[in-house]
Amino acid sequence: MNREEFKLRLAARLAALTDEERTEVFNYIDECLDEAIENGENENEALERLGDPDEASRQLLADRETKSAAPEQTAAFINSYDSAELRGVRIAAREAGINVTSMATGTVRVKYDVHKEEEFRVNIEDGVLVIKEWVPQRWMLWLKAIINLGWEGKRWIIELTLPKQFDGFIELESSNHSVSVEQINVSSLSARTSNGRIIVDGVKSAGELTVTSSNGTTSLRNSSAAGNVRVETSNGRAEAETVDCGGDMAVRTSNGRLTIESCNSVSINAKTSNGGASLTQVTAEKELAVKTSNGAIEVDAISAGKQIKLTSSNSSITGRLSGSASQYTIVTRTSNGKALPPSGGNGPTRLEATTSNGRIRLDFEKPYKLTFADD
Amino acid sequence: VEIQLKKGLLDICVLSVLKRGNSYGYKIVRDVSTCVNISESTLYPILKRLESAGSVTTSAVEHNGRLRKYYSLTEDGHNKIQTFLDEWNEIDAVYRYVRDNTITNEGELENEP
Repeated sequence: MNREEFKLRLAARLAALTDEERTEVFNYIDECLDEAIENGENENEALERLGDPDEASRQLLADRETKSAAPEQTAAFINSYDSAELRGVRIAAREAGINVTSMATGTVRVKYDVHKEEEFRVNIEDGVLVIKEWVPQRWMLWLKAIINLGWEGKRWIIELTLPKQFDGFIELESSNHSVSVEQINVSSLSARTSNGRIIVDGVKSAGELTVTSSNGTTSLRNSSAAGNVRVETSNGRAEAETVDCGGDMAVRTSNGRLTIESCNSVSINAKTSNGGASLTQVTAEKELAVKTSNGAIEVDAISAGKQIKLTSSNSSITGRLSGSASQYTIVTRTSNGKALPPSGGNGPTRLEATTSNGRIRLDFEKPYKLTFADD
Repeated sequence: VEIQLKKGLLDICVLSVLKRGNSYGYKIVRDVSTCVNISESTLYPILKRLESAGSVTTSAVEHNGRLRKYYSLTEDGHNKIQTFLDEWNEIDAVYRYVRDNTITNEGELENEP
């Protein structure tokens, strides 16, 4: 087989190419063969190295084949389930984010993009819809990055749509992406992520409500739970706004600001290490405890039935409490600052405010029968 | 994955050949072949891929009455080589892990009757 025969046979196998692309391939082959001959090879040797026309065409078109297969790798997966047959939904994602919304039907719908490496497994296990994302080991992902040269980690989203009234639990977990849940009634909700934000808005839980992240903001708004509520993060803001809790409510962060606004609960426990804490219109049936290490505590219109305990290590405690001073038995302690009001009184609610290095300045919604000297 | 891995490594090999100066198809095959055995047919899609990724640019230069297509490294190409070199420690750790496991297993096999 000489050069012309080779090209003729190859041409038949390159029918999928445009004329321009084919010319480019032939120019390349001609150039290679010319160079080989100039370097003292004979044409047959050089042709042999190119492979037989079948093999050569496969290699020459190696990338085109992958390209044509690409759309299949990113097909959207949509599946629906009858909500009456499910007692819960559990999503364990790694790289993917999770969005949960509701619609006015009785179906549970799951939608995500299917990729080769980021594979999702969907099963119904014992009445629970389980969606798991399988992600290769870190070094495999890393190899993938090298192999594809310039591959950028795309982030997928799993979209879960539930009936507005879903009589089951929801457990969501993502490692490296955010999670959001909106406008839905459930028997309980738990949303966790390691490196993303979590926003839960408009959720009514017949049981518990747990919103936790390690390195992102956690936010719970316009929601209610018959059981306990937890809003926690380590390195981000923790927010609870307009939340009704029928159990104990815990709002915690290590290195972020803590905000609680318009919330009611049996007891409330708020804690931050290196951020400030701000509580506005917060009512605890029994106990309300706020603790910070290096941030100020600011309160407005807060109240509790049994006890309010405000503790800071290195900052001030200021603001206004609901009701009148006569409702409280006051214990204020500060090492390096002024404390107002002073300890005293014998009301039914114990108010304890303690700081090591800051001032305490609290007053009451209703005027106190004894007026404190202004500082 | 194996095919993909080889493909990725070949890309880097080709880029590194161009680091020494502009070159053309036939010469790249010869240079790379001292390390990995490839043919002109295998090189073609690699060059196309690198070109469309913006890692190399081409220019035609007349040579013995015909055109020779030269490939040269772009800034992106330089960066890709650097990234590869920087991240080699990690791949090397995987290689050593695989190698050590393999050696252990072979040792066990030898002990069997």
